[in-house]
Amino acid sequence: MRSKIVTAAALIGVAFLAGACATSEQWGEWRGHTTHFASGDHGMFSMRNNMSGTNPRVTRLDIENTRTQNWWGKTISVEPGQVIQN
Amino acid sequence: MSRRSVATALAVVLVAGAVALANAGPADYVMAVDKHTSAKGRALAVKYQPQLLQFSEYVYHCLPYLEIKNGLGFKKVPKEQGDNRYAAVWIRAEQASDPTFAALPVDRQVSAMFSRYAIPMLRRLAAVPGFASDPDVHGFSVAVEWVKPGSDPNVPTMEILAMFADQASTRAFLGKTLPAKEYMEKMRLTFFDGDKEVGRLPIEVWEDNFVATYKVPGYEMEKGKVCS
Repeated sequence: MRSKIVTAAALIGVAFLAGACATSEQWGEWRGHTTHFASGDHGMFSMRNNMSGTNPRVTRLDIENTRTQNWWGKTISVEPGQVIQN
Repeated sequence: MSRRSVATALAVVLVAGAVALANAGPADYVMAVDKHTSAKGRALAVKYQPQLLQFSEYVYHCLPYLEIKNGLGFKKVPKEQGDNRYAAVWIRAEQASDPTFAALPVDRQVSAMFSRYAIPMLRRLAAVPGFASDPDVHGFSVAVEWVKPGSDPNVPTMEILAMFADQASTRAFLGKTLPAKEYMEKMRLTFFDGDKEVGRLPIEVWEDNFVATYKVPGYEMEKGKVCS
């Protein structure tokens, strides 16, 4: 009985993480579509989103999960302490 | 090690990881009280914890293209004598490359980022209840960072603009009794290009309603959350 519980817990954990990965992929896809909101009041800036007409729904948690997994492995930047001190 | 032990360890790790993922949220972007390096900073962090969390929730839910970096809290100018504490937010603005933006001179790029993101953050910080009458909140600090146009997409170079300004001049500027040019001259302003400190750039400020009006396509805000 105990081993069945352990196995079930492991499966639940795997399923949860697989779900998280799936949403991260969706978010990655969403971000991967680049468009520019370069006209009108929104000026010259842009954000990666719907270009192809399909527009996956993304929640804030999806975004958070992707950021948690580190969008960029490394960036070139100053140390935070050079910018502001705690 | 038995198969059962391995399965148990795996289950614990996976469930713990899942819980950690599920728990990431606005509170994680508020700097811990004990990370403030002075008693004054820690006291402010304790006093305004609910307000900081509310600020973080606003950015988290309402401005999903921004990410708070290095903790929202009460910070100071690097290497400055004394302990003037600034209500401080550091944001990373996520945006795709844009040839029009990339073609601008650097000071215009920085002016654009300042006008678009720093001003709304300043306005939001200045509206936090309690700050205006608190002499321990010396001023406001906003740092905005973004990917340098044309930098290696695999190892992006970050550009950062950091400003510090006292409360009185910030409120005068926001209340339109202090011209933008004078406000900019009064504030401490530093631009960083990757790992190099460039210093002050000639920055212009203009009206930009992007933060107030832009809605990310496809974004589903958490139920019960309201942006105002």
